[in-house]
Formats: sequence, structure tokens, C-alpha cells
Amino acid sequence: MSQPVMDNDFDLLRAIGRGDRQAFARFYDIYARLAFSLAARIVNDEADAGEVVREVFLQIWDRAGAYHPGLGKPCSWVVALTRNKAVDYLHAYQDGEILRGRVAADMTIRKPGEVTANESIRRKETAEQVCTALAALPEEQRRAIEVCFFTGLSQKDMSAQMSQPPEIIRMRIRAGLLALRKKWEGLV
Amino acid sequence: MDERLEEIASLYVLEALTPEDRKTFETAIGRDVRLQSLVAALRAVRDAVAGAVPPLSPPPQIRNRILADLDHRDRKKPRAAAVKTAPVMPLAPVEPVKRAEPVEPVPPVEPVAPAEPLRTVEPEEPAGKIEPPERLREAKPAESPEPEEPVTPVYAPSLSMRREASSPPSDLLGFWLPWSITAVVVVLAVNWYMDRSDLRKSAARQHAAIEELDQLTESLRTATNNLEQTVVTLNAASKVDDVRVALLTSASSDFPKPAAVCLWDNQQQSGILVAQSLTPLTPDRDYQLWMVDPQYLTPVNAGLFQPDKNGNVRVHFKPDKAINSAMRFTVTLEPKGGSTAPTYKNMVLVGG
Repeated sequence: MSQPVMDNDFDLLRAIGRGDRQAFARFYDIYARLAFSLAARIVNDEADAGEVVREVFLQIWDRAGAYHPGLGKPCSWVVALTRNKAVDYLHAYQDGEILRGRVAADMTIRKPGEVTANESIRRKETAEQVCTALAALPEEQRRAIEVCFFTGLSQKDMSAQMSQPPEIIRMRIRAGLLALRKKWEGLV
Repeated sequence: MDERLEEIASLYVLEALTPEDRKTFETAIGRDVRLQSLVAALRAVRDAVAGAVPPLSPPPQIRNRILADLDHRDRKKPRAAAVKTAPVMPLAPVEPVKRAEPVEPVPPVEPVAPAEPLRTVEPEEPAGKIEPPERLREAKPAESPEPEEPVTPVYAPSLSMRREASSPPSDLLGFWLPWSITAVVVVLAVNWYMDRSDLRKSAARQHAAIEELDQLTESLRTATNNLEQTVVTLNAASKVDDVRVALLTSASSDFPKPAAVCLWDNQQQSGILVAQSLTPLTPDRDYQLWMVDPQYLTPVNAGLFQPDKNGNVRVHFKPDKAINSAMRFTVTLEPKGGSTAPTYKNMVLVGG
């Protein structure tokens, strides 16, 4: 798979803001896989994930004109929009029982060696190293990060569902992300 | 970087802050370059985590549906960007003229009622075929064609109105323009006055709010001054890396007053807690100190204590387990004899 030039993503968004359909199609082709994989991971339903992706890209079309780098890289923007929209779906259409089940279930991400959605935007070896770094995190830190990001539960609900005080959960999230940051900065 | 800020930044990139906290933090980011750098780095990590999910390709029909949605939208409403670039019509000044209609000198038309002679005129018959009064005929310019619109009773009775109707457009403009301009000026002046008045009220409210915040800040500064001094002094006195000083502050609005300082010696695996303004206990309760170490899943018990009648206490403590990294200290209110795990709804103090 050819790797897109990341700097061009800003130009693509600017063009989308001007109503350029070709730029929009190109942007979709770059990020749809990541958005769909992430949405499917959160809502656990491919039909719902499709709806999430549709709404996310329509948002991108509507808001691209107002995009500025302060919102993060285009990739980060897509991730944030997708995650938040998927979490909205999750909480609007799936009941609490399912959510609790998802918290209790093993939410392990891909293990090293397996293919990930990252490869659509990163080189394969980098994606592989990210998975290795994630797998190397202490279980409770990785789990705190995953539950927080993939379920969108409030800190209070996470505390109740994981039977841990909020401050412990926050501490684990921080420790986990900082540990990943160290590894990540060695990769980029 | 302060651990607390790192914690908030982590929650921020994971989209786990409340909207209020998020807004506050974004304000802080705008002022702090180091924070911006931290957030950017954590976002990259967050994106990596998001991308580490099993890959799935979206069905091709999603792409087609999105593009069809865009077509549908464009048909219904032009894109905002296109609207922005379109020339802006000077419609705004016209609006006040409509509101100023009562000012127009129309009433003189009303009293003239008799319309009988013209009621007999066939509706489709052009006005030119009606014999106008001599004065009106004289008033018309020679080259001006007869009015093409059918004459209706509204126009018929008034000579002055008929004169207006048959006048060239420049005459009409000449008549209405001063009134329109006057109306626009009046409406703009009223709007300007109201805006100014609203702004003045808003500024007064903000000024009052700022004063209130200043007072609150001052009182908080005074309240924590002693403890901060203590921490600074202790930190300055501590030449040993293994000694840690932590300021504990109120963890709940149920216990707003207390504050404490923990002095922890990692080498000796013991510490001193100095607390003040604790609520005196009933005989069936104890305060319990806990230490948070990431190597353990739950906080480690560091002992029970009771304050004096003034709510002050100074105790030596030793945790139940070996502490590698004392990340946090918490004090909870527990049943007499203590608990095996902290009762977080009764958390009194927290800090690290």
C-alpha cells in the first residue's frame, strides 16, 4: 500500500473546505479504513459503524473550512470525530448491560505480528512497534486506557465498572500514556 | 511537568474530560507551550492506540452514500463556503425601513373615498383608456406612455396618488428617499443606543464577577499559605532524594476545610502526617491514611489516627506493604478499626 504524504492532508482539508469533491474522495480513501475499524471496534456492529463513518465524513465536509492545525493533525481530527460519534452511538443505541459486558470483556487490542488499522496511515513496521509497546504495558494500565477511550464511560462509571477509585484509574491512564509516549517518540 | 497536569492532559486526549473541564484545560493549553507539546505527543499516542484495532474496510456503498448525500445537500442548499464568497447584498439597511413604515406620509390618501366613476371600468381595460382629469393629463410628460396596469379603486380616488403612480421612477425616488433615509437613521440610532446600553450592563456584571473571583482567590491564597510554606521549608530542608513531601487537600465538598502535609521517607519506609482542621470524630469512626503505589492494584493501608478536639493531628505512620513509589496519599473516614480498602465516598484528603 502506498503511503500518503501526511503534509498533503492539510491541503486536502483546505480544498474540501472550498467544496472540492475530488479532494474529499481522496481524503475518504485515506482515512475511511481507520475510521471504520475504530467505529466498529467501539460500537461492535458493522452496520452501525458504517453509519458512524457516514456521519463523520459528512461532518468533515461541513467543517473542513473551519479546520485549523490547532485541532491536531488531520489524522487526529478524524480519530477524535470518529471516536466521539461512535461513543454517541454506543450510548444512544446500546443499553447499559451491553456496555457493562464490554467493560468486563477482554478488550485486548491486536497482538504484535497481527495486522492493524494503523497500517493505512503508518508504515507497517511502525504499526508493529506500536502494538508491541501497547502489549508491553502493564495489564491494568492498558485496560484503563482502552476502557476510557473505547467505551466513553465517565470517570465515575469507569470507577464503578472497574471496581477501582477514579484516581487510581486516572493514574493508570496517565502512566500508560506516558510510557507509550516514550516508546512512540523513539519511533517517529 | 506537574503530574496533575499530565493526568488531565491524558484524559483530555482520550476525550474523557467533562465539557467544563475541557474548556478550562483548552484555555490553559493556549497559554502554555509545554502543555501544547505534551498534548500533541499524547494525541499521537492516542492515535496509535486507535489505529491498533483490527482492520476492517468499509463497504463501498458507504462511500457512494456519502457522495450521494453531498449531492442531495448541494441541491437543497449551496455550500457555506460558496455563500461566503458570493457578493454580499446590501440588504441590512433595507430592513429598518420596513419597520419604519408608520412614519411614511400615506394617511393623506385615505380620506378620498368616492370611486364610483371608475367602478364601471372593465378590470382588464388599461388605465390609458380612462379619461383622466385635465390636471393629471397635463402633469404627465409627453413621452410617458399611459399606465399599463389596470386601474384599481385603490389608486383611482386620489388625484395626488394617481399623479404619483403616473410619475416617472425618479420622482418616486425623490419623494421616498428622504423618508427612507430618515427611517434608517432613526432605526440605526435606536439599535445603537440599545446595544450600548446592553454592553454597559454586561460590563458591569463582568466587573462584579471579577471582583468576586478576586476575593475568592485571595481567601484561598491565605488559607493555603501556611501549608505551602511548610512544604517549601520541608522540601528545602530535605537533602535526601528518598524523602518526599506531599500536600494533601480537601477531596470532597463534604469536608471543605481540612488540609495536611505528608513527609515520606522511602528509605526508612515511614512517614509523618501533619493535618489540621479535620472534623472531630464520633467514637465509632477513625481516619485512615492510604498510600497509592502503582505496583499494587489497591491503595496500601498506612494506619489509623484521630485528631484532637481542634481537628489537628501529627502522627508517624508505616504502611502495611513495602512502598516503591509513593504516588499519592489519601485520607478516608472509616468505621472504627479501619477498613481493608478505602471507602472513596468518604475521602477526606488527597494529594501527592
